[in-house]
Amino acid sequence: MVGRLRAVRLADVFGVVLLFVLLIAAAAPGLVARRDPYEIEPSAAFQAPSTLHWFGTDESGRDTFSRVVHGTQSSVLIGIAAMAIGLGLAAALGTLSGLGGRLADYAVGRLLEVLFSVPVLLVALLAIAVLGAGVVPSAAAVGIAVAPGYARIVRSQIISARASGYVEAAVVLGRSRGVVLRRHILPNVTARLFALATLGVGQAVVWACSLSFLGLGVVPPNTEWGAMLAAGRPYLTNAWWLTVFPGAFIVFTAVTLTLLGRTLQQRNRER
Amino acid sequence: MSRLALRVLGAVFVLWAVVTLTFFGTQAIPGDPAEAVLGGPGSRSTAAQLAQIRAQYGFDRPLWVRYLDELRHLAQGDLGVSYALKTPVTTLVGQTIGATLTLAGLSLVVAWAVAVVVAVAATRESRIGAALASLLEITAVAVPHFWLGSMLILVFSVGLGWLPPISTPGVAGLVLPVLSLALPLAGFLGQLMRESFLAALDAPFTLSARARGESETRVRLVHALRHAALPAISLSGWAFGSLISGAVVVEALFARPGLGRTLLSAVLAGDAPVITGVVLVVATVYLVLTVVTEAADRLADPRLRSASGQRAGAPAW
Repeated sequence: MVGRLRAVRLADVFGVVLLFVLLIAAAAPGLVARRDPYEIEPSAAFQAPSTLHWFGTDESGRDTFSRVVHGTQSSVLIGIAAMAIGLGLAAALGTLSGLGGRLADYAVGRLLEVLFSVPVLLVALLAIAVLGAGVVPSAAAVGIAVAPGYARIVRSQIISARASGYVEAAVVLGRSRGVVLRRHILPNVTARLFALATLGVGQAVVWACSLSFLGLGVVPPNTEWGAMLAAGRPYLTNAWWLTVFPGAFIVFTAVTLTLLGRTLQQRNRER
Repeated sequence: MSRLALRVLGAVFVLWAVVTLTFFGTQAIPGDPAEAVLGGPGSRSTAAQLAQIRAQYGFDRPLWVRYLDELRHLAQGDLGVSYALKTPVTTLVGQTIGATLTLAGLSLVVAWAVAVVVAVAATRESRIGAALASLLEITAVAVPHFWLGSMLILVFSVGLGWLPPISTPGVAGLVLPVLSLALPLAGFLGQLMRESFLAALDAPFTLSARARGESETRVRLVHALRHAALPAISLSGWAFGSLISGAVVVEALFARPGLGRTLLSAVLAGDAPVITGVVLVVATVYLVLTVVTEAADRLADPRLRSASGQRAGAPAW
């Protein structure tokens, strides 16, 4: 039991430290990487990692370390935007389904069933086909694609909150529907959604980077991890650093947010 | 039998809804479809050419007429003709679906194999087992398919020179794409199966099997594993979906022909019939898998056969 507690705390500390590193890289990339991520230097192309260029240089001699650090901002922001869109849609659908009565619940349920039959990335590609390629469309596409999964979770949490003892007590005490919803159901659901959103941002970063890798989101030479990986793919055999480092940062981000989301979920459960 | 009929009817409804959503979705693609037929905005087509294509493809008819027409054609198994390639979509899908299903099927098999090993090796005391399981789980949620694939290329193609860096016909060219798809899925399935496996080891039926004097191997492989497999079997439809999502990226990474790449180029070209065709085919396979796994669930779990779908409310064991 003691070991379990200590393990949780260690993961917490680890998660917070990683998040701190991530936030600094996103908020003030210039502090961490002093070189200009767009400055080309053709004579220094394809330099392997060294003390001068920690992560090496790309085909135009741009500093990969600087580009990866500066890429944090766009990659993480797109992930957060996608998650916000997805969660917003999910909250609307889930609330409608959980509180809108039987007919609404049935309609939303069928709609979700339909959306589930098309894989996430295919939904995102459909959205891209309509919205066009680019930064904002790719965030929207990821949001739309992940929304059904979250809508289902929101719905089940609203229903379980509605069936809980404290809501029943509030109803018995004669509280109005609006008060019960505002004071008892929504706070309970939002705390859980916050944990879920933290977990989801990591996933959204991975999806958005996948779209950029396919050439549908951020395009090279802009600094975004998926776009950097797409640009580095042709040189995989001779310049491994162009692929290893941006990808490692995607994994690093997703792991950080996953650990943090797990911790928040654990807290919710203990409360 | 009526249950199956109902399920099939439900699946047909879902397919109709998928077609409807994709039809109206593809109608919203910006740009003139006639221009897409003539090769996109860069083709500098004349007004006369555009008018001719509109008449030929029926783009000038009202939306609802085209929608009903589309439904009629799809019901007859006609997926239309690609705007960009001028080939029937059924031919395009037929040429590529085999490659994608092979990739997805093999990945599913490998993922299951890894997941079963992770689950069966699980004990409550083993810290290494727990650490390995969490590592796999982190891989599942945090490592993008295309990066895992790139790392595999770096190690096995560039470093060791064992396998080709792009997908070639034959077994050697399949290994890396399959691994890049299978490992993240194995992480999900392994974690899931490990948990239910551990729960099954504590269940009364395990105790009674042990009391009957059955060997530990038999208890683990026959009794516990069967129960551990259940939640993972129910997820097969979802697993297929996630493999198809992954296949789009992995096919691009390994330059491997398949449904994913067909869809990707169709999205880039605004090729509505191909987009609709691929989405419809994928949804069909998903629905067939869901119906089949529900039946498989019933076979594996006797409690489901009599119960009227009250799985969620039933006690765990």
